[in-house]
Amino acid sequence: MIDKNNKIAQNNDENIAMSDEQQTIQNITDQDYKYGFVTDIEMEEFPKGLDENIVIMISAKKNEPEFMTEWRLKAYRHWRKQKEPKWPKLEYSEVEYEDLYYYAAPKKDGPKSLDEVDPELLKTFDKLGVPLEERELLAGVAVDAVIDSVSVATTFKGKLGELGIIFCPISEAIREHPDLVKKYLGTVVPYTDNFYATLNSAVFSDGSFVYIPPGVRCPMELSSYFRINASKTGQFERTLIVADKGSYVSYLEGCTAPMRDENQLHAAVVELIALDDAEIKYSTVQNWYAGNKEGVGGIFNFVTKRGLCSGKNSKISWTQVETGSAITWKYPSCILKGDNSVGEFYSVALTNNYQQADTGTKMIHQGKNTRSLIISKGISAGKSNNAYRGLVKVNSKSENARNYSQCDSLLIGDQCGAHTYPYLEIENPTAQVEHEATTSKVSEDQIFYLNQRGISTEDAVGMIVSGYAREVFQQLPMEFAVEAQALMSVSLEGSVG
Amino acid sequence: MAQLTNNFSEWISQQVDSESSFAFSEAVRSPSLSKLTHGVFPTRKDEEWKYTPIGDLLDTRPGEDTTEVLDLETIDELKQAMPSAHTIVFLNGEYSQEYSDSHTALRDSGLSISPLPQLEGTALKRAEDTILESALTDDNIFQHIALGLSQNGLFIEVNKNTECQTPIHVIYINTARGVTAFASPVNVIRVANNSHLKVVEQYASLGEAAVITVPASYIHLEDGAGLDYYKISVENAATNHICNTSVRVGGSGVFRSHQYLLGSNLTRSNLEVSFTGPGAEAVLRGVYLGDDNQHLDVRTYLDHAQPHCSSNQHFRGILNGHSRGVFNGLVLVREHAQKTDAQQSNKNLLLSRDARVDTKPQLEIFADDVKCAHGATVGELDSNALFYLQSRGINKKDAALMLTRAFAAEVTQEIDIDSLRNYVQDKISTSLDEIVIPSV
Repeated sequence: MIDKNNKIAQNNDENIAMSDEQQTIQNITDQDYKYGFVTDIEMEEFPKGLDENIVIMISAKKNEPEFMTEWRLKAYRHWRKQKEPKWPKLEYSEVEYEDLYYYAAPKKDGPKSLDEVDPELLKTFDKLGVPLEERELLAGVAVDAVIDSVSVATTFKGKLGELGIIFCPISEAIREHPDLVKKYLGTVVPYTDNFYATLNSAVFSDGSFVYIPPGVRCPMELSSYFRINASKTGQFERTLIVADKGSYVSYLEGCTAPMRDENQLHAAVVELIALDDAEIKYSTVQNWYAGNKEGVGGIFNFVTKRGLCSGKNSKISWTQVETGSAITWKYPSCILKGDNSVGEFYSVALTNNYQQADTGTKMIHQGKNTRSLIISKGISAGKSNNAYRGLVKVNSKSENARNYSQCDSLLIGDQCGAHTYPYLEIENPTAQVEHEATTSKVSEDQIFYLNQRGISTEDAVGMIVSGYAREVFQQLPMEFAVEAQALMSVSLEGSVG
Repeated sequence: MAQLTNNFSEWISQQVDSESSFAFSEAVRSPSLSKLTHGVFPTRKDEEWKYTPIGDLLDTRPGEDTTEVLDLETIDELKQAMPSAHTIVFLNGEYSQEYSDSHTALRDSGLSISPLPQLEGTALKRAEDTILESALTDDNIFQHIALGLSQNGLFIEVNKNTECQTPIHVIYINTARGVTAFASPVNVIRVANNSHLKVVEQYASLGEAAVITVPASYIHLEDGAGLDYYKISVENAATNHICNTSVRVGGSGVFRSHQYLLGSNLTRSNLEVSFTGPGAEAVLRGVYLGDDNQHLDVRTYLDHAQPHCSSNQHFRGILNGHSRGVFNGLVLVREHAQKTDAQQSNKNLLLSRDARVDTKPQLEIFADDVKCAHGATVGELDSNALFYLQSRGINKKDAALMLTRAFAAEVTQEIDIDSLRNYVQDKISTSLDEIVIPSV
């Protein structure tokens, strides 16, 4: 009898534990998007759809030199011949490319200083926690803020200008520094590269341009905040960063977007070029609207990011924290062309509800003694699917190439998926290439241990996940690391193993 | 996918219309034949064939049968691998009663072996059902060539609670000289509850002519059954060998597979295992050893459709000359397959400047309480290890041989039939003797 009672008591305990677990899972899946709001600014829109006239209009709107218009048109014509890729492990409704607006910009363009900036926009930044004035003083970060395609404010320009650093909207760079743009634009991601990159080449509205002159170490983290704002506006940024010989730059990109029901298309292109002895560090925190808990809405994020280590001893390092978007299709890559060049990829990708991510990297070893490191941490919760897809290619002329890849997956709940698709293509015997992947869940033992130290289950999961992703967070600049940690705990609040 | 326009495919369509006596009934053949008539061969654009071009194969056209008589010595040499086994010999795709051990003697022991042409009635139906129940994820045309055009093969069946002491040794010998030969044996193996069996398949070619071998095997293990399945392929450098193996393992069943791909021009081995009951286990091992222009491709697909199953894969490649190795393995853990333990490892050794490896170990996981890991490495011989051996007075060539042999032995040592282990290790050593010299 006593035994029986004990058993019942135990069962009750289990039931309570179960319902706690369900409750916390409920909590995490019920979370609403914390940065959801819409800024009410007058938008200037072109007609829907895409044809050569729209491309010419976009180019004319930006007072671009003829070579740019030509380039855009070539891209547009090529895009018409391309097909949308179907190979990723993603399922989504077809994007109606003819039903999109390809250009939207705040009415007042080209403000000369902060005073001229639309106060509505400044309020938007405040809500996002990006007070420009404060940033200037506190963090020493120059912000090139982009709201829907046109850059509205750039800070620290003077200070950077003294060093010869160019940090401006790419539309301005096309007008002011056409030689530099002409020399480098499309050299890493040609306009023929892939469906989304080609579309971007034809219609890109704005983005950032950075040029670091030889031997200059950029004294501050350069940062650009992107926001998608107008409904039904595809966002097509184009970023080009050139680090000349012996220079160094660290660039941050962070994103939040307001809540919308319709899927918004985002097809950005980022090109990095590192010449001899140069180093570029590119960090991203991405938290766009991921759709509601039924999987309705959310951003479609099809991004082409690629870095070229063209000089010897150059280095490109990608760090990304991906928590948003309904669909993520993104493979920040490094072409290690220069001898002794180094490529790094650190990634944390978190998916929840019906989010889908197919992300990873490509490391193309071409030069001698090139090295690459891949650390990828996937976290899947809810009904989401999270895939790592990566390529390590060692060309036959690349002597002594070295690669190490580690791709870990963490599953939270039994309805999500975690996938790993590494491709290793090795044509040189002196290469040493290693790939490792593991899959695990937040174990009950770990939670129990932390519980008995007085830490709530919620905090415990946060701690375990932070620890799991620590290798990647360590790569982020301090301000970003804090933001990323906060983002992770927001996304995982109430989660349970 | 390319339309059927070339030599091999023309020949295939002729065979479809021919009046030969085929092994299977319409139920099995007709779906495959319709695939053959609108047949498309895989190209590099198909993800599963991304690294394996089959142009060489498509350019060859099988000729008339040119069977040559074998002397017993040759057979005895091949039998060395399994001296005490029950031997079955196929000559150029035909079952050879002359060289095979009599299979009628086996019936009493609960094990029955029948060449496909001799099958009829319920036995034929059981064999065909085994085929129809299985489905390959890589539904390539070669499976349909085998099913639609096969004239020979084996049906091996083990009754309940039978411990088969004598392994079965199936030897496929091609003797073609001058004309391209074609063989597409289909093997069906059924092992009933709690029975155990060992099968060794050995492919050898004695002539120099090109051979196209397109075998397909369908294996069904019932609950608690066990099968050790070895495949040793040492064919001539003109052979194209494309095989498909579909395995279904019941609850608590154990499937162990070893593949040693030591010859041929092109070998593509597709091995798919799915668990149909909880607690099953699969152990997959393999070594591919390539030289000159050889192309060796191993594909595995492990479907963890049931909880509490475990799988362990370990494949090693040694590549010299201009050879190319491909490993393409996928572990799928389905939604309810909790407590899965899946391990997958692929290691490759490049011995020459022009050798190449493409490896793609993949995990697709839909259950959270699982232990899954995979790893892949590619590299050359460790210079520190070479230096160490040299410092102990071993010359560089011997040191390189020793290390390469040891690299393969990590897999071959798991062969638990002594004679077979020695045979495979000898074969690997002999091949290495020839290839390691020039590279050091």
